[in-house]
Amino acid sequence: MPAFLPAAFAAATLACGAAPSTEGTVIATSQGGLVQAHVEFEGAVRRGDNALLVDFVALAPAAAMVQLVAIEALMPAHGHRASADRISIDASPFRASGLNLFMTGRWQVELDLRVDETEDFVSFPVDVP
Amino acid sequence: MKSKGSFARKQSFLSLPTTRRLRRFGQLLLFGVILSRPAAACPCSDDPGGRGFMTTTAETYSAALSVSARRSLGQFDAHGKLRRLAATELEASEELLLRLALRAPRALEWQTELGAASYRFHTQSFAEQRRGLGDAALWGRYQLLEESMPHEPPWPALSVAGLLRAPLGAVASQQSSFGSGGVQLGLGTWELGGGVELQRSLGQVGLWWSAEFAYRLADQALGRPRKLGPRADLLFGTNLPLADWLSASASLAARFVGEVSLSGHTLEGTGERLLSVAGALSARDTARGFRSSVGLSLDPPFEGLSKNTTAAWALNATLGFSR
Repeated sequence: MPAFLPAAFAAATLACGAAPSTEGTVIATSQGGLVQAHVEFEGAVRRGDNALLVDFVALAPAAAMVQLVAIEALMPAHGHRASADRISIDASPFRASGLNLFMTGRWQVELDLRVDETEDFVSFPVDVP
Repeated sequence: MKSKGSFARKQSFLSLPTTRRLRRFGQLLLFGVILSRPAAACPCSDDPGGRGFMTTTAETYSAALSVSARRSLGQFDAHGKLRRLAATELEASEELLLRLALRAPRALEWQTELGAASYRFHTQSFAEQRRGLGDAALWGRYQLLEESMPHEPPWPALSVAGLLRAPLGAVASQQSSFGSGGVQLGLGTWELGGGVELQRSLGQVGLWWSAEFAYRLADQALGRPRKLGPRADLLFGTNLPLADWLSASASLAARFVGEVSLSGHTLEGTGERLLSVAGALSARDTARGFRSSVGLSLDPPFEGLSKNTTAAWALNATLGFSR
């Protein structure tokens, strides 16, 4: 299967406003419109520790240096909060691990970024079965 | 033929989407209360004027202390899919709730509520334990209409209520969090609401229907602008006197909560729906003013029934006093 198909499917799903997938690749544009994030969970999203691979595509001509500062997940209604324990920046894509989505339900995952000298973030929903 | 037609109607009802089924069921309950036949007996009694009232019009004040224990059976996701807790997992809470009521003036009852809870949750990869005060709530309840007498055209008792909930409970900080579904130590925001209640007697059987709506103000409980969705609670119940001092009651409740906004963005799929059933036995010593009850409630663990909340059962016991 061509590698771009999961990404295309995820993008189409998000564009239609449908429920987020619990597996595959999520593509989301940053709040400031500087980058596009490609996020892939290692295996399906599960309750408990999760690891994910994050890559960025610059959208603005000036965006050259992208840093993934932190990954946080929230269940805003219940106040649940979790964050990735480790973020590896040795090579692209970034690898984050120890994101403990401990409760079944919908989480909002947020990637805090630094694009050159500008702070930006990416936000997308994830359903934890 | 009759039974076949009945079966066909039942199939048709069950084939409706869940939200339509709930709406249809709520309509039937409402019509049942409003259009029921006149009470065969005089509705006059020393019962409080509605299920939400703690005092009768002949009483001035009331106090009640409740204790409850709750155990989760699983969690519903955003699509209503249920994940049951494994044998090694636990989500449990115990709650102590103090309620006070005062009539001043006589037609208006002021009611306050303050609770404290202990909450535990653990899975294979996570453990959490919290205890603390809950939010404080204040209701003002006013009875607009009394139930009609047997010789009058049928009409239920009608009361209205206003609600103010103050965020005294533990709020989320960098590491802590609220409980889910069952116990909420605190909403983290102010809540303003109002409600209406209908009550009617059918012979010895009492029926009541109530609705409460609440608006949640924006807050910073998560360190950024958050706005919880509005809440609607619907309740239908019935009670049956078993003796002069003892009665049994049963109720069906539905809660709907709108979607949450975070940093100005509405997060789709974060709305909640919770259906509950409950039953209780209540005893009262009218001469001394004591009341007590024991009850069992169940948020049924049926796929698709609720969403973004918890399936659970809870036991509760209440001791109250009115004068």
